[in-house]
Amino acid sequence: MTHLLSKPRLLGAILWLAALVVFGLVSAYTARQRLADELDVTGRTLHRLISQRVAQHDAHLTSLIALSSGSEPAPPGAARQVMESITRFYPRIVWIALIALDRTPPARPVVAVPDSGRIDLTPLLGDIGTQQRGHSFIYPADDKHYLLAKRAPGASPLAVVLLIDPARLLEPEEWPAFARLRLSLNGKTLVDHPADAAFGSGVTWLAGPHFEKVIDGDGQKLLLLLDRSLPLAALIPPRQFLGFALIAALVCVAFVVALRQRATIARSQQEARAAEARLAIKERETRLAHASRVNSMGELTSGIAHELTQPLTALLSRSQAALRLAQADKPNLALISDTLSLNVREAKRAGEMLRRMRDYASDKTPQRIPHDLNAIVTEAVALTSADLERRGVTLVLQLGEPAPHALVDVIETEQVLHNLIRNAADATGKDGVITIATETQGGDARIIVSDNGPGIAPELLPRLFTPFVTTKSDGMGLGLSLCATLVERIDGRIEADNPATGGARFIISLPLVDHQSEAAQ
Amino acid sequence: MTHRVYLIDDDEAVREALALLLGTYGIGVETFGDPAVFLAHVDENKPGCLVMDLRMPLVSGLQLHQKLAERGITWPTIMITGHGDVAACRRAFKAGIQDFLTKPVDGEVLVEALHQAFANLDTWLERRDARALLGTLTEREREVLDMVARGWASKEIAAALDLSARTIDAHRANIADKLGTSSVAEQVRLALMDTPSR
Repeated sequence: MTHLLSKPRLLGAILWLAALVVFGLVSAYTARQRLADELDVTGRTLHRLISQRVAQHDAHLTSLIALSSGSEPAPPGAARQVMESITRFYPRIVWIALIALDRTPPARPVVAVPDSGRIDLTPLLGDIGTQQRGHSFIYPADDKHYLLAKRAPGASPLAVVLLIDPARLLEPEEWPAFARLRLSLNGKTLVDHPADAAFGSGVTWLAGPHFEKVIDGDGQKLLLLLDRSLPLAALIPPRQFLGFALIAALVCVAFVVALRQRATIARSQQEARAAEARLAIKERETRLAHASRVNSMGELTSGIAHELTQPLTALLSRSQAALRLAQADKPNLALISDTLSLNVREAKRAGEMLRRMRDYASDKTPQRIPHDLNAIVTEAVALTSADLERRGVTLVLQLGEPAPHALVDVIETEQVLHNLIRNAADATGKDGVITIATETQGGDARIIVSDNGPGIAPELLPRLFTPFVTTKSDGMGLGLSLCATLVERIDGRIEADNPATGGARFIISLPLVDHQSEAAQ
Repeated sequence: MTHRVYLIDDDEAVREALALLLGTYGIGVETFGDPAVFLAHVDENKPGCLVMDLRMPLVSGLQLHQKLAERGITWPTIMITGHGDVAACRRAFKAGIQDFLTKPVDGEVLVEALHQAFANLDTWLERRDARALLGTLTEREREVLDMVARGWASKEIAAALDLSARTIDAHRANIADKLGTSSVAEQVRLALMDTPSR
């Protein structure tokens, strides 16, 4: 979760952006549609308006022709009066001229309102003269105006021409503020009225709505063009967009949170499963360890049976002997006493055997205290010295001074030493010499048990501390393995080698403790 | 009657205790901690019953038994062991062990087994003596004795061996002399003892 673009976050951001894009597109599309519809409505209205007004021009032409030609033409003064009133009422009709087509150029209007001739009609006269009578014809005049001409019916050479300012076809209030309006004639734009500045410039990536319709008022084929720009704000209303963005962001955040939660749940489930698997493995290991312990207990039982039944045999036999001695006519009390004290020793021996078995079988926690190793050696030696003496084995102690101290379980360490001494005595036999030394080396307190026996067989060295490895036909091969177990669980190690000086050597290395600080405690 | 008992066990305490116990029954015990020492020490002329541990370092009880048998010492043997599994027991009996006791062994059971062993040793000794006596006979005398054992009369024997009745009588006199008994029944008993046992 420390990564900024974690998978759920990235996904959330992408979703959010996608939602915004979709919203923008939909909004733009509907807005454009709405604006186009609006433009269409406006366009149709304007078209109708302009068409009506354009139609009036035709009516003016007809009435003026009727006034000026015919069987009883009105005097030019009267025509002028009518024309003036027309121009007054219709400001878009900039100029009205009654012309006679039979006059030779330069053509001059018969009547013109206003008088000042605005347009040189000469180039048009030929064309007007060829036009069908009774129909209006339209001609572009200059950049802003167009001409509407109509010939009088019958043989009259007269024609009426209107100069129309198309920009005035619409009243100022009728101009659409939001769209650009153009009126063009034969491709020539006569009116170009831009949209109000307030409606701004449109986006370039989307074509604005367009309205186009021909105004066909009796030959006045004007083209009405409406164009509407699409400002971004109109397409994608900022407030709506921001509101949507906010809501989408909230939804996305919720989504990300949900995703994360799901991931977390999945992970925790996975972890739970892994933990379960680990537990199962551990359980199996425990079972295996237990099974192997049970197996070795089975081995131990059969192996120890011999050893344990020895003292039991002796005990039973001596007890029965003592019983028989006591039941004799003249009990030999001294012999009975001797027998019983031997029994006491034997029972202790059996107890010791059981204790060793129990210690091996149970993983009891060692009671570790800082202790003087010299004292431990001395105690262990005291326990075995009688046996060694009987077997003719000499013990040499080389205790280091000051006495090295280590964090040990005293009884277990004595047991280890006891085992090593017994092994050494077995190896040397009569006239053997066993040397026990203590020393401090580096951070280690060491006890070294060496003998002058035949040494350890090289092939046996690598698996010397493996259980059930033994050279003794009656041994269980558990002694050294037990030693290793006991030493290792007080963070020590035990090593064996055959030094150059001969015999075998066992080195117990234990973590040294400062006995000064121990004394201070 | 009791005989000498040879106890071979690698455990000193067991040796001492069993010797003491058997002593209270009036049974003399000679103890050995090492089978090899016993093998070197054992005297064919001092027969006794053997009590030995099945499981000893270097030489097992059965191996010791085998080695003794090779030397003709087939004295009754009681095997004692810490864990009497069936296989070991079967092997022991197959090898001719008389009894198989598990440690800790009860004094009475052991003594009972020993008395049985003593009886067997008596038989063994008798057979040995008989064999020794019969060994002094000539082939012809042995032939005659076998026919006597079958219940033949001197005349029948003489006819079978194509000898005169007097010669047969002379042989029978020698046989009685050598076997130390003129009782035909006793002679027959001795002759039968020589037949291979088991």
